[in-house]
Amino acid sequence: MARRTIMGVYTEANGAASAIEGLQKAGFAGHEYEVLTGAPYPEGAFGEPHSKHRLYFFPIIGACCGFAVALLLTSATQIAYPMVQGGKPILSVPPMLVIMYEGTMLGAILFTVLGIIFESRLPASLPAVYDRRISEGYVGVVVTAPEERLGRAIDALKQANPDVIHDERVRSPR
Amino acid sequence: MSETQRSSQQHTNHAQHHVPPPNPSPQQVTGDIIGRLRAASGLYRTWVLFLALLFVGGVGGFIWRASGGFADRTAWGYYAAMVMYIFTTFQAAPICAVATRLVKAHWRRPMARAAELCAIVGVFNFFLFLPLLWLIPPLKGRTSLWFDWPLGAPYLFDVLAMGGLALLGLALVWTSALPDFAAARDTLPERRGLYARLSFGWLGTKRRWLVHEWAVIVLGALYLASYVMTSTILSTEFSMSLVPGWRSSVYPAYHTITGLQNGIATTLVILLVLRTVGGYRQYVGLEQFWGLAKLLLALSLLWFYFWWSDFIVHWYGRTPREQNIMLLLMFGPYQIAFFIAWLCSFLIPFICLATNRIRVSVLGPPIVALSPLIGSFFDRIRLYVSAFSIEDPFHHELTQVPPTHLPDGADVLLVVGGVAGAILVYLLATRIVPVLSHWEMQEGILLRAVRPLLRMPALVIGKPR
Repeated sequence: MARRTIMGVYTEANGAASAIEGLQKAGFAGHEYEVLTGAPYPEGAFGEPHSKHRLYFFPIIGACCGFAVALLLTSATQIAYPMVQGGKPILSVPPMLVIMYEGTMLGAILFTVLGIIFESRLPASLPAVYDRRISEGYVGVVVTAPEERLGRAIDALKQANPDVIHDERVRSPR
Repeated sequence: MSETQRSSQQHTNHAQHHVPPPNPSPQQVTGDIIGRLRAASGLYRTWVLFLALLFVGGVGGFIWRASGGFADRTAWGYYAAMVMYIFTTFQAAPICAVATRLVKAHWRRPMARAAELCAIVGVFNFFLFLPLLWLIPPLKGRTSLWFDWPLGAPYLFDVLAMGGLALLGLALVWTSALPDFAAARDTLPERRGLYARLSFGWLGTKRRWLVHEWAVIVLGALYLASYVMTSTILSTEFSMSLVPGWRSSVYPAYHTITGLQNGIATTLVILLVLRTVGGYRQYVGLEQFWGLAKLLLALSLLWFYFWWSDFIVHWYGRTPREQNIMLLLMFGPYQIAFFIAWLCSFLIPFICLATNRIRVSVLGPPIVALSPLIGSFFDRIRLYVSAFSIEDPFHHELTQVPPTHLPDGADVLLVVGGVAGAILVYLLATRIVPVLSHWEMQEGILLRAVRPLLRMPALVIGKPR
């Protein structure tokens, strides 16, 4: 079934919220529409379903990996180059702690950056329909649905008085 | 005028004093913040040229100094002080943005980017830092953080700490500015190629905003944790471990606290520049200066507390070793630098910022902030130049206090050129990264409104969570 994308652009956020309400009444599921904004609106402000992400796993996994590598590196170094001083144990814990802290941080940093790229699905190309005025405070409601249901989506978007409706088929300047 | 009228007049004046400016429109915010990336002003170009000339002078000073080799550590004392000064000013400033974001302080919005953009200077300072590695004496036979570590220490781990912080700073700025790069891509057709590459095709979907919010907080928390670690390592490596017999568990904490104090002071000065000559008078106001002034006051008190905690142990012990340490760092060859540091980092900001009229003003806090910035400069001199002037760090304790090492021509060029280079890097970064966070300002418009409260206007802030 061919799917097509359309986007209603609203000058006011309230219009976009009404459009979402109309889409929900018309039977569109949460994964079929998307709100595009130039500012982070609080979650649920448009009545849209909650989004989920797993970014918090990345720094934790990275920190564990960094810690493990640093622990291995510090232990192996001292065992490979044993220096007995004043009868003290071979493994010298205080400097190990400094290096393990460094390793933990570096692991967490690297994995967090990877996590940001992965969870944001970046790099990405601009979608088939887009309006550059979204960066100036306009709000876009993007609907991707099978062709035969798009009529209902256009009706729902129009009822909320959009500034313009972009259609994937009719390429307008982005 | 009756008592009631006078009271009413005072009340009105007080209310007007705190009336927040009206919210600009989203289009106006975009024009003011993103639109400024289009062209640089004549004043900006003049400053860039001037700072570039000073930086070239600094390069000349470096060549002059390096021609004498790296064997004489004393000669590099001012260079080390300059690197650590940049570390404790510019590289600490992003913590202002990080801390205020973590506690969801809404007044942070106009200052967050200005503060976190200082992290870019960390890359510049990383390259300045590298020559210092040649000046670290061997670990064997002296006290250090590394306890005769067999492999890699201290060079590898110092580079990892400083390089990691610089990279993290870049990641923080890039992540935070992603929506702004996307806005610039959409609104600046002449620079679309650059911003399309920088924005990675980012669009403001709900999921991406959610990830972005988390990412900025997580990277910020990591920056704070990494800064503390790096400050601890570098302060121990390049001052305490070079002075025989100097053992203090408070000193690294003191060094970090001074960094936080200077980070706030740096941010205040940048905000004043943005307000007066940057054209952001409408966005940077009393709220930001007042908020940062309170933090600066608290950290000035902490400066004293940490210094006192360190000092009292040496003063009370008063063994010959401790007396020599106090002589070297405070009351001997560097006593002028110490007293300037004490006055400028604690006494002046404390007295000034405890005064309501100065603290609750636009001009007062940034002018007072110059004091800890000057104080810290002399503090770094007394800590690093003195440590670098110790000829033999392998002794058990300091038996002879070296004389004052005064700067020569190369030192002046190095210090002036280094600091100018740091400011230059910041200025150049503002041509690519918006100096005010576009997305945070837009979010602020959504969540702030001025509403009447009885007879006075009051700022109402929406807190959806």
